[in-house]
Amino acid sequence: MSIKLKIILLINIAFCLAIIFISYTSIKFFRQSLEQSFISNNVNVIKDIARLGKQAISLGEYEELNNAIAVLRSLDSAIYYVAILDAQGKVIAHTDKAMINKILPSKSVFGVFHDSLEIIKLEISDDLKAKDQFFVNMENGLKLYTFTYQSTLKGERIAFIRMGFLDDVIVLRMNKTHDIFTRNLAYKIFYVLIAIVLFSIYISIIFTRYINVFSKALKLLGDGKFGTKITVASKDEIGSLSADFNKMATRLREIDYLKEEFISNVTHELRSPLGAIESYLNYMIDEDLENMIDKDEKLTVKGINLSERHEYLNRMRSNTRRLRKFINNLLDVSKIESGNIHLDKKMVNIFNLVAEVKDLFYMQAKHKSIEMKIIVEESAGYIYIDEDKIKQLLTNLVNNAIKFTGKGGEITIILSALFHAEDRTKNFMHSIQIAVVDTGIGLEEKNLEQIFDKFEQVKNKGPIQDNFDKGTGLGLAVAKGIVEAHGGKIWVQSIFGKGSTFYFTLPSVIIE
Amino acid sequence: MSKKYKILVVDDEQDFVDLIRIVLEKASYQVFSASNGEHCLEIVRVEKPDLVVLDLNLPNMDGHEVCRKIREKFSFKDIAVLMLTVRTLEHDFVSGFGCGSDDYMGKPFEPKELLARIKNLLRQAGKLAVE
Ligand SMILES: Nc1ncnc2c1ncn2[C@@H]1O[C@H](COP(=O)(O)OP(=O)(O)O)[C@@H](O)[C@H]1O
Ligand SMILES: [Mg+2]
Repeated sequence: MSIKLKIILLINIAFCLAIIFISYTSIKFFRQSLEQSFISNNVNVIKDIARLGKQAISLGEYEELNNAIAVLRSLDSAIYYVAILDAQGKVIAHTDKAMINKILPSKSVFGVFHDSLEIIKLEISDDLKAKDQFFVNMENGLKLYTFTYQSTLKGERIAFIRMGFLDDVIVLRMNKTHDIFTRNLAYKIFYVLIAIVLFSIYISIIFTRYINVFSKALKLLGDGKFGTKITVASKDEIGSLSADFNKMATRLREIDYLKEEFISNVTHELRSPLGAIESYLNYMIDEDLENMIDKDEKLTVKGINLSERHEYLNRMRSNTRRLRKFINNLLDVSKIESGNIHLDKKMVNIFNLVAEVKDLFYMQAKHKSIEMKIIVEESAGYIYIDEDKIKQLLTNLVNNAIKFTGKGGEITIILSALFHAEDRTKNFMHSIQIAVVDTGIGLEEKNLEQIFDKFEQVKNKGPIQDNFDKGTGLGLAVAKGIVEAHGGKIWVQSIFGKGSTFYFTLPSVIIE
Repeated sequence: MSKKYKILVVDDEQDFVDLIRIVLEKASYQVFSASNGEHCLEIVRVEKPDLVVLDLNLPNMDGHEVCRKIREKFSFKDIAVLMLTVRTLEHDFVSGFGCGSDDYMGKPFEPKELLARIKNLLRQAGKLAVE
């Protein structure tokens, strides 16, 4: 998971937890305050009734009181009943007319607490004394919120008021308000969430911007572009990090340059003396050959006869040649790696080039009785390439093919042109493809890519020929460099034990 | 070979000069040698050799420049130039022709090849009868 995503997720999770907590507590608090306000509202109503009750008792006239509570009930559907008793426990007013004038046993009046479900402590006003209670109880099978209130006159209880509210209606009513509240809250949370998401993205961008800058630069560095610099104009840790990075990049470039220079100096210095040695050996071998034809082979110079000498000189020469080839390849690779490969392009008849390379290997192929042939699938004509380098590349491939193919094998060079479908008629090729097919030892799947790296050779290739050319592991690295400098691609397909096919393409070529 | 052809060998490496001298003298050429461009031009002016075997890699003035200077005064018919370069696949090789050299050969060389190329150049210049 990317750091960007992590930052976004982290911020969002943190804020969501906070929001959940805040909204949970606020909903809970809102619910409580709803209940509180329900109670405090009704306490006021009860007080009004009590005032009316007192008046009615002092006048002995209860008609009006009964009317008042009837009106009250009709106004609020949550009121189940209202009962007012005098000091003796006689019902003087009741929403249920049948109850009027009944004497309720004081126990059932004051003993209401027995069947209460819960007693809610009221701390609403001083007017409400200990016995004035609000509680939840069951009456006639209904869950009620019940208020009881004692009205006193000069310290003496003169009336007792009891009011029952239907729990269903109250809860429904509270739920309605509650729902409105939560819906509002949800809307607000939604907007806040959007803001948080945007905020977290912004923060993550700020943080990862630098990481991206650095990872891009490091990637370039990894690809060998040692001149890579980072420009961050900030004076914080990131600024100093980028300064250090630049220092490192500069140092790497210096080292790389030194390496290139070292290789090129050393190889140049090696080449001249090697060239001299080989040239002298060439001369001596030639002369000896002539002497061997002219004179006696047994001619001895201090215990070494002429044919032995010839053999030793030849060995010296082949080792010198191997060293020279290695140095040349090394120089090529270092040139390719430093991007100093210079292409001297001109129009070249590709078929002729392929044929020439094939001819170079005539002797070698004959020696191993390998059959070599060229197949032209699509006449490619002239293409615009660096002739010498493409020759070198093809030489490397064919050389490998011969090296890794046993006696009696077959090597085929297939020349084909790849067209853009619509361009076929206009005689314009997209690219040409050359394949070098052999029937040799083949390659294992896992080695197909790495053999193009420098110094990579596959171990245990088995004895294919007697004086096995040890090689340098540079041939394919050079080949790859040359193909890529031309903008082409090189790859290999192989069946282990059956043979390999090396392909390469050269793009943007024009047919004759 | 009745007439002795003059060949100038220019290389800053004495080993090469010596070897080429041995090979060429054995083939009955008259050999001059020089180790740098200035010296080479001096001998060209004085001796007017038939052919110059010129190493590309010379101190101060490189083979291309020396060759160009020779061509300013002498044509191929006067003096043929055989360029020697270290590698056969180097691009400077091809551009050697641009400066007016007539053939090129890689270093290290095969004495037989050197002789064959020299003979060929002399023949092309009309100095050697077709055998
Ligand atoms: N035609 C081929 N068949 C099988 N293996 C091959 C072939 N060409 C190359 N290889 C493998 O790839 C390796 C690298 O090749 P190369 O870079 O040319 O180096 P070298 O030939 O000097 O060993 C070889 O050592 C060999 O293991
Ligand atoms: Mg190879």
